[in-house]
Amino acid sequence: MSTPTRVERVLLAAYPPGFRSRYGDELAALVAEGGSRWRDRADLARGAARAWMAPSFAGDAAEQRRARLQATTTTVLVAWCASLLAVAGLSKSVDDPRLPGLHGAAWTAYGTAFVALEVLAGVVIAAGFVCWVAVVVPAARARRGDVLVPAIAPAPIVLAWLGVTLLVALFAQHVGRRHSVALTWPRGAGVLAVLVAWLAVTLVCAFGCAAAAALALRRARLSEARLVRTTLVAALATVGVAVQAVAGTLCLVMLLGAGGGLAPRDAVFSAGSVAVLLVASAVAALSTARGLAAMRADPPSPVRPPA
Amino acid sequence: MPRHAADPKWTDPGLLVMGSLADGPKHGYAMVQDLEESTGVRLGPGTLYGAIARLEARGLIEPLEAADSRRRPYRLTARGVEVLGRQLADMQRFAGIGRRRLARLAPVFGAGA
Repeated sequence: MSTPTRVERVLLAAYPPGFRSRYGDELAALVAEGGSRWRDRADLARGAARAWMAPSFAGDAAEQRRARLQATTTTVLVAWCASLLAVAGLSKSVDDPRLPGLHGAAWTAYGTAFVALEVLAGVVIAAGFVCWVAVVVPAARARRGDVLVPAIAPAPIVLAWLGVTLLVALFAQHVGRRHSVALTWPRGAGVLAVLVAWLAVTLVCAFGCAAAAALALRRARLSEARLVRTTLVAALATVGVAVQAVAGTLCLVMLLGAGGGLAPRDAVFSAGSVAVLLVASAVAALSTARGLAAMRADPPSPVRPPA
Repeated sequence: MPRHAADPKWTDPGLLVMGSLADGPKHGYAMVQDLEESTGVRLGPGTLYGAIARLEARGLIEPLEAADSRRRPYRLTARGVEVLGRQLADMQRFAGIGRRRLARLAPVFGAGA
């Protein structure tokens, strides 16, 4: 039996964690036995996409329900982090410096997106802290480093991000004091490179936090009762993400319709931010709907062994 | 006449997997080989394990204990046997009606109809 190639290993790693832990070894063995064919690689990619879009959970009814609630919690967590970044991107592109068209209804929509972000961020962070304590305390008592390390990892990640942000701010202040800063190529190449690097670090930190929290949640194997609570928090976060997406879309539409429209750079950044908000909102809504349906569903009848 | 990729299909992966397991427990690679020999359909790895995951979640198949976790065999559950039997009976009835109707068209379109 050969081993999967690098491309195949990447494709296998693209499956959801729950799917990988249950079928990963078997799937890798089948890929290795089947030989390297591009048709099979395309099939693996389609399978991974489908496993994310329409996940199936093995085990008995209680385990399936638990896995569904956990998947909803982690999916919404990642979508929520993406929406935070997207609203920050929208703010940077339309409000720093403020665009001439950002007033009246566009300003109301923009403000609504921000109020939704701030209120929901407060609620979600507070509720998330309660969930975090529920993960960390039992893990610390049981001395489970495999749970504690990813559960505590967001703290140094955020500290590192704050440190990088402080350095970037000091750099910007230093450069701005000496001469005017132009974020254009090639005149402001150095400043532009720092900004792009900071954006990349921000993205990596945000998704690092989300991935670490999701990993801790998966390894902690919370009880169904606790997962019901995290799913309700996730539903609340989904409402916030959806409000941000609707308000961001309205703001963009009104800005495009305002006199003069948007400069190409602002249009690209604001449309990109709104696109991320819409995708995050759709993913969170779909996953939350499935989680809430799993909470309401009657457990399936037990499976009898074959005669 | 050669078959075309866009022709209507009966090859639902879940049904194929259950049909293969009706012959006895098999692991993934054995199912792929069995289906290729018996139906000419080659299920890709993603499609096969997607179908296995859905069938297992619905309680239609179940894994068996295996020394090698990379070659875990599956078998039909009692509910799986019942569902497969019902599907095959529906297909048989549909095939019978279809063939009788085609036979009536034979004088118009020739023996192939």
